Amino acid sequence: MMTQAETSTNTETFEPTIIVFACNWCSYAGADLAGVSRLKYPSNVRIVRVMCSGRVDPAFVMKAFLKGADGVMVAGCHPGDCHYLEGNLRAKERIDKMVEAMHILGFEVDRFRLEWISASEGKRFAQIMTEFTEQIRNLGPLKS
Amino acid sequence: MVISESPINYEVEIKSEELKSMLRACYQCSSCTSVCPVRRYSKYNPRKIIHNYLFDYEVTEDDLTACLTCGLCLEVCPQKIDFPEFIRLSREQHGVNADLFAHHNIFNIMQVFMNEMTDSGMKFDYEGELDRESSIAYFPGCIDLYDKFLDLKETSFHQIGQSAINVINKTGVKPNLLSLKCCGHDAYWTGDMDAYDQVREYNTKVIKDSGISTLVVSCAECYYSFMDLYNLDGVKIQHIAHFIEERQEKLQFNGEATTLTYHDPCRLGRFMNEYESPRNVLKATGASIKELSLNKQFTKCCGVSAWLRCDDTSRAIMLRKLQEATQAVGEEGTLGVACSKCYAHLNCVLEDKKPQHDFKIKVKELGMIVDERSSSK
Ligand code: SF4
Ligand code: SF4
Ligand code: FES
Repeated sequence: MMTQAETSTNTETFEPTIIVFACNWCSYAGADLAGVSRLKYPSNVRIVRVMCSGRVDPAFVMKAFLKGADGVMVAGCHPGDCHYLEGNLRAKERIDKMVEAMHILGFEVDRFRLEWISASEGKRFAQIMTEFTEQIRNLGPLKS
Repeated sequence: MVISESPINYEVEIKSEELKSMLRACYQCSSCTSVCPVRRYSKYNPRKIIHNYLFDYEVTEDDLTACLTCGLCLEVCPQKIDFPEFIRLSREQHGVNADLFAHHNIFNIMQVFMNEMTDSGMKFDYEGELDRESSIAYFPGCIDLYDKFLDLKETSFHQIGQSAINVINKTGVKPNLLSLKCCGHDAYWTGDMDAYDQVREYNTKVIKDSGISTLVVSCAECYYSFMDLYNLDGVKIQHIAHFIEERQEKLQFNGEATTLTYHDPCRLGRFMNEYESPRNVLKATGASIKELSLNKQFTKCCGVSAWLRCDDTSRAIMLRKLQEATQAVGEEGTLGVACSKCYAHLNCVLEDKKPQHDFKIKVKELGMIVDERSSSK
């Protein structure tokens, strides 16, 4: 079976696969709001709902890349808004270290982003997704 | 293979004739089980596993993954049954469930990531005098990644590499800091031969192309892998202990009296028969060594191997090691290790502190001890 990344490189314009880990209480709700407000954002984005951005282990992100994602994002509540108090701060701490580790490994870190998106920011959600998809599209497929 | 999401598979289906033939000489004396460090704290029973394997009884995933491949059983076995190698080969044939690795399997994922996502070796950032043209190279190993993924507050892994470079500089040598990928030891011992072969090929090429004549490493696993698993004819591999021992007259030791105890890492000790160099180096710094009750070829493993199964048994083994070390040198003493992994595991359990334990002993890596206790002449 071809992975998503392979199938998409066959088409003329490159359609990246983007995995977004979104926390249930803010960013996922933000995505919902974007949906009910009928805002458009690229269909390249696949959202994985997690209870809190603090649930995202660096292993998830690296595995997403290994399994064919061209870009990965972790989205959580704004600092101070996390429903588990400081899950997002811990996520940031862990993920900053992961980014440093990726540097050590010699991996382009511009394929990864950490964003804070609240439940009321449907518009911002759509904007960020569009922008990130564009960014990854310009970078081209991860595995050629 | 290792990163797939196979469901937990209790019984091992594959039993191969080839592996059975390795075990047939066993006469079930149970010497192996009686020394096995895992046996101390669980029902793990190498003798019984051999029996079950030979007679087609049930052998479980647990049987294949709980072994530390420390080689202590081989040391005492009258029939010289290579049980760790049997375990390694069965892991290779059967695969290892990714869920059984510690730290969400991050170190395995890292190994595969290193192979598939990047074309370069690891990028290091160390201070000191380095020289790309030097015939002596130093490779710190994957310690910088431990800093990023192990949540330890008081333990610096980067310091292992920094200390080694400091010491090498103090002997008047400017090493070439070699940018390799991880040595592949863990992939090899958990049977992920694809990852191992890939990384060995890459590293061999970089080492050969760099034109170096000596490669110095800090980690016992790197040393064992480069010496025993790789084929690096013409390049001398030195553990940092060998390097320091060879050049100790170039160093000025502060000679401050101190007592240390020393833990022989299985990859340096039982696997490579290097017992004296680390001790000589520690003694040269002016330290007196109080031996652990079980030492040299009878040393018990630190408790985890290849990031597989860090569980309550592992913790019990580590705590026991700290207890033995405390008995040898007292609460304020230091346990010296010559392996980045031993350093990681023992410091990890040390940082847990209460309510688990109250040990105050320090665990330090050999290069760090020498760096602290020396200056250049
Ligand atoms: S020590 Fe050797 S001979 Fe004795 S039971 Fe173990 S493997 Fe068999
Ligand atoms: S290699 Fe070590 S852990 Fe494994 S069975 Fe032998 S003594 Fe036990
Ligand atoms: S609940 Fe949204 S980041 Fe923790």
